[in-house]
Amino acid sequence: MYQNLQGLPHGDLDLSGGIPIFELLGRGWRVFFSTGDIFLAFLLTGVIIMGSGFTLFSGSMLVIGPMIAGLSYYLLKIVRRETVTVGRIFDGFNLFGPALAIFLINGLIILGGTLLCFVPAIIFSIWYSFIWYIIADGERDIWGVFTKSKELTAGYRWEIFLFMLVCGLFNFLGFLICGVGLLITAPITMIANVMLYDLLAAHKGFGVRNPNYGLPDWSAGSPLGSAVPPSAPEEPPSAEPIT
Amino acid sequence: MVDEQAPSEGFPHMEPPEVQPPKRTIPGALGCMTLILAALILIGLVTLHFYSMGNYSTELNVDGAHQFSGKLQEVRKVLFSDRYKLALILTNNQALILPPLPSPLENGKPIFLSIRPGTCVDGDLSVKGGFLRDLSLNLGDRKYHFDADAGWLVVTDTPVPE
Repeated sequence: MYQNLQGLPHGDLDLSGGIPIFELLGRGWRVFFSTGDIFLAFLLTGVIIMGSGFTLFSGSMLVIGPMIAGLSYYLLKIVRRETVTVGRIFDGFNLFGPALAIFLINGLIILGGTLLCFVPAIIFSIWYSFIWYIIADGERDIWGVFTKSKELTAGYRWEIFLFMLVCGLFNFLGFLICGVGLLITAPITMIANVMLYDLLAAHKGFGVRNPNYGLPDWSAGSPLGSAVPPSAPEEPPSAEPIT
Repeated sequence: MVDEQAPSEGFPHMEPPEVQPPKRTIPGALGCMTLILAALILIGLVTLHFYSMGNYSTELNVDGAHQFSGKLQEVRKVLFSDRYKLALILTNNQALILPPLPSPLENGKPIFLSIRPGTCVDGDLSVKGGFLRDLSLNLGDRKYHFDADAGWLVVTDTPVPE
């Protein structure tokens, strides 16, 4: 249990005994079905990525990075129970340059790993599985995003591999339902991944959940790796009138 | 083409394989189109369901207790579900939409459907771990209590003062 995650859907989980894979998926399921907006955000992201591919040569390539960054930002806010609207998935375009660069570099790294008999690709995808959440959390140095993601996974890589396998199987089950089920299983696994990111960051004392996080734009500095300590838990209001 | 009269040396005699005419092309295409159409309809229905489920006041997701008081603006039904969202106008003229909830029943019928717009609504809800824990609701002259685990637990008719 981590102080700076108290009051969140994954606030009572702990990584001391390893990654609670099925518990994370269960929490992801609950968060997904607690609001309809996650489905709409995911569908909109998919439609825009595919639509840009149809209308513009290499259009998807230009759009995927910012859209995934925007979706990651949106999911982080949803999981952290902060007020957010579906329209914020387009906020990724405020970071068009870094998001595009990160998408291309990550693609090249994974491609290189695939050419080297596939196993390095799996290792790289484990190392860099949290890059989008790190950029959404304020990191602006492109290579810093990759190094911090790698640092975050240290000590948990086999378990993250197992987590990815379980998520893959879950998504495959969704795909079997006319492919439509994937629209539900994929966001659930993404939410579980966001929770895992938050838990890993809290476990290692990165203090990612910065009290200044809820800024209206993406101009926040990097809370990851900086001297910002884990934020003190906020006292839940005993009775907050909203009349 | 290979000459059949050519000597056996050199390239071997080759016969092109016989090309079979395509079979059941139209039924196959129709089947594919039906599957795609079914998938699109399914996506549309799922989208409608989630669209009608979303857009509630997310400030209610924060852990703790929340009180509200105002008048009912409308009851929004979540499509393909037994849940309803109560849209309220609070006393400070701000809008508040409660998260989707099942309705308490009276004679097998959902009570939320029988509430008229303009009815006074006040109550409080508590959120734990980012999810609704329980909700007390005063609808006009009636009081209801909802528990996330047990559902609608207590339905008390408050006597109307004479």
